[in-house]
Amino acid sequence: MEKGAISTLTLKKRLIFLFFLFTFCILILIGRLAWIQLVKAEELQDEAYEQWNRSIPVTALRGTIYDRNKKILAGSATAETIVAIPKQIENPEETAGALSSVLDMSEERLKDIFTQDRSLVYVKRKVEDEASQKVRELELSGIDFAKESKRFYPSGSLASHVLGFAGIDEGLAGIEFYYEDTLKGRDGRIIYQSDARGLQMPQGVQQYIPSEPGYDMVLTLDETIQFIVERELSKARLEYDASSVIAIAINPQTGEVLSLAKKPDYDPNNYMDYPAESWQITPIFATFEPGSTFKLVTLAAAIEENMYRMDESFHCPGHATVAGQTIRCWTSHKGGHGSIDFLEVVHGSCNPGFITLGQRLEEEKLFRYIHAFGFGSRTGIDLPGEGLGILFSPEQVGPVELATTSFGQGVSVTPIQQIMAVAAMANGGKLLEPYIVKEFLDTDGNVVKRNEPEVVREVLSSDTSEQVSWIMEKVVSEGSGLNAFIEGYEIAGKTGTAQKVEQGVYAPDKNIMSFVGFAPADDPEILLFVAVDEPKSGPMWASQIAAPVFRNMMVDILNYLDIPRKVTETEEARTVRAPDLVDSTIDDASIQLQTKGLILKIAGEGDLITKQTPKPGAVVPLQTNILVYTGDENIDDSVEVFLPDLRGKTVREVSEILNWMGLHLNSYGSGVAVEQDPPPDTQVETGSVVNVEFKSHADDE
Amino acid sequence: MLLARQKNLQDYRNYERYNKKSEKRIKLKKNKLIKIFSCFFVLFHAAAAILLINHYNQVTKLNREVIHYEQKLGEFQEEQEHLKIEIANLRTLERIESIATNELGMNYPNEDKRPGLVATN
Repeated sequence: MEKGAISTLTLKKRLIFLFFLFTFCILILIGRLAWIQLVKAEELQDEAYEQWNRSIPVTALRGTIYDRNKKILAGSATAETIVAIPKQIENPEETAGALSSVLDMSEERLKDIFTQDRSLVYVKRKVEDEASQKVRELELSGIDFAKESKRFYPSGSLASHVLGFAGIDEGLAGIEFYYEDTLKGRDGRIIYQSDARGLQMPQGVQQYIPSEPGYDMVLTLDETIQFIVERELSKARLEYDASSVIAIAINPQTGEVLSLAKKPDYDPNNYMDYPAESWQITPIFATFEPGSTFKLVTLAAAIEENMYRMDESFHCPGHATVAGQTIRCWTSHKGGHGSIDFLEVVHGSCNPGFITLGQRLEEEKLFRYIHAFGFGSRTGIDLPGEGLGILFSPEQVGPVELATTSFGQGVSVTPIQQIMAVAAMANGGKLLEPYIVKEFLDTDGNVVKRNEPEVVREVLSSDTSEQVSWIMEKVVSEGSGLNAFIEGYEIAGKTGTAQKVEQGVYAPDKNIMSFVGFAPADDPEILLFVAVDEPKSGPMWASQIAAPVFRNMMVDILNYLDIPRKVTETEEARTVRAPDLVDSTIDDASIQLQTKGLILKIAGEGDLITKQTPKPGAVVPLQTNILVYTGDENIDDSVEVFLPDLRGKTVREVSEILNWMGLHLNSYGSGVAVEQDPPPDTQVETGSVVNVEFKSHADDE
Repeated sequence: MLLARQKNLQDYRNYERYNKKSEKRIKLKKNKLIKIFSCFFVLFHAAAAILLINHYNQVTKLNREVIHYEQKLGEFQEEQEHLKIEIANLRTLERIESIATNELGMNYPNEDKRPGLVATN
């Protein structure tokens, strides 16, 4: 063997070593391959898919909201959203500078967006068409556009509290919030393949996953009734300078809500311009002391329990003494109602009379009926934020509490509870669940789900219901609800005047006037509740404020619903003699007119009436406005007069007032006065011209 | 005799040469066939590949067209939604009322009616 030569054995050993080394390496590689292919495959595949695919979201169109006649109340259309693909942006500073003014965003904010380590980022969502067009014209690399659904409310503020509004991604208030899952649908995407720089590959596979629109909704709301109600609420708020006015109209046979409104309201298209408090659905959320409208509960309970006989006589001395405490009637200043029967107790809304009925029922029965009518529990309306109301707990109820509750003091209810309780009295005794969505429709217009009337419980017998309706009809045709009377129709109703409670005590100048009524009384088709909260001008009586508002709404609604008038034997209009109100205070005059069917309209700042028209003793049709002047100065002899606030008054009233004052009217438009020049309290010479603008639909904002 | 033998040998050699030449020719023919067949084979596969790629291209093109038309349909639907909103905007009762009162000079019934005095003392 040569020196230095490798022996065969060593060679063999080396070969074997190499063999094992290679085998080991290959085994490692196989193991790694198996790990990647079998264990990590899915994860890596997803990562790769994400790396080579880009997707642009296609937001689903929200379902359209229609009124009961299929008129669009809320609809969706697409708006463009500006998106950025940071990897494609060559110069973030330059791009930020170019976009800053167009999108009204700071350059720093835009630079932050463009330097994010993400494949796709939103720059600005749902921009106006004009802005998106400007961005398009800039032809910036890395800036793209995506379509998103934007909510539009064509009728502006109409039914804003019911509809609510949708923000960028979801419903935030009203129906939009309550039915978010049904309305929103499912988003789609456009997926395309991109290269390492994120650029779209020309022949890359594209995929379009269409979005699924949400269900459409048909509400029970009627756009025309809603419009009538809101128009009259706007006028009332302006005329009485009220902090808010609310109304609800329902079909008392089914519980369908036909209108639900509050003024002031807001425009859901620009909801951010309004304070958050204005978004609250006051008619279902807020609680108030109902006053006399609550007497209907006591009345119905007493009739049902055979504790009421309308011809039974009763004496009202103007007050009632309960457990040593004196509770006054609104007629206490004139010694009470005197000797009347129990029908007149209801007509005259006599507090001592209702205290007697409450005492007959006793705590257990009265409160059983109060709960049975739905007070103290939610009605179940399909809107968010419903209130509960406040009732005395059984341990709190003593003789005084029982007495005050029987005429509507000391309890707190929501307007929707109040109207549903009256609906039960009107429809034969069934307490219904109110609802606002009638049907859900798919994209082809097929009905997916339909809400049906639901009876919560039977509260009264049909006989009691008939009797209550009949008595309520008499309240309107002969009693304190005369200002709600409509010739040719049987209107049943009840007024309610209540003081507001602030920090546990009754606030002296803060009242809430309400009226609840339905028509036709024998077979009701519409039930309407109106409340004027904290009016600052006008007589502080529901019969003078809420009843005329109710009547104005009801006249147009009955016409619209085509409910035929009942032809009476004598077609002559009912008349009434105007009382002498000169030298009376506003409060005394209001009480004088309480059951007369005349409406007091006040001009001037004082409390003592110095002038009136029509003159005392004039025989005028029912519901004629008695215009009174309460200015301190004698306007006949004055060379200069102070201009009163004319807002909320009709052309005729303004003309009459200015005529008294020796001023001339220059009017624009029609409806109620919304603006005047010179403004109120300006001293002007007699013979001057006053410019007044009138509008039929008085806007709140 | 020797001459005859020589001739036979010559013939035999000629025959052998001829035979070899013929074998060569057959071999050449066989090679040619194989070449032609191979060419056809390659050409066939190339054509098939081209057809397949073309088909794939066509499918991709059609797919893109489908997506394009789907997007177009979506755009038309969006336009339709915009128009629906626009119609609803134009049909609002407030707008109708505003045109009636401000542009056409219409009034609500009895709005300016003076109280009808029936009798005075």
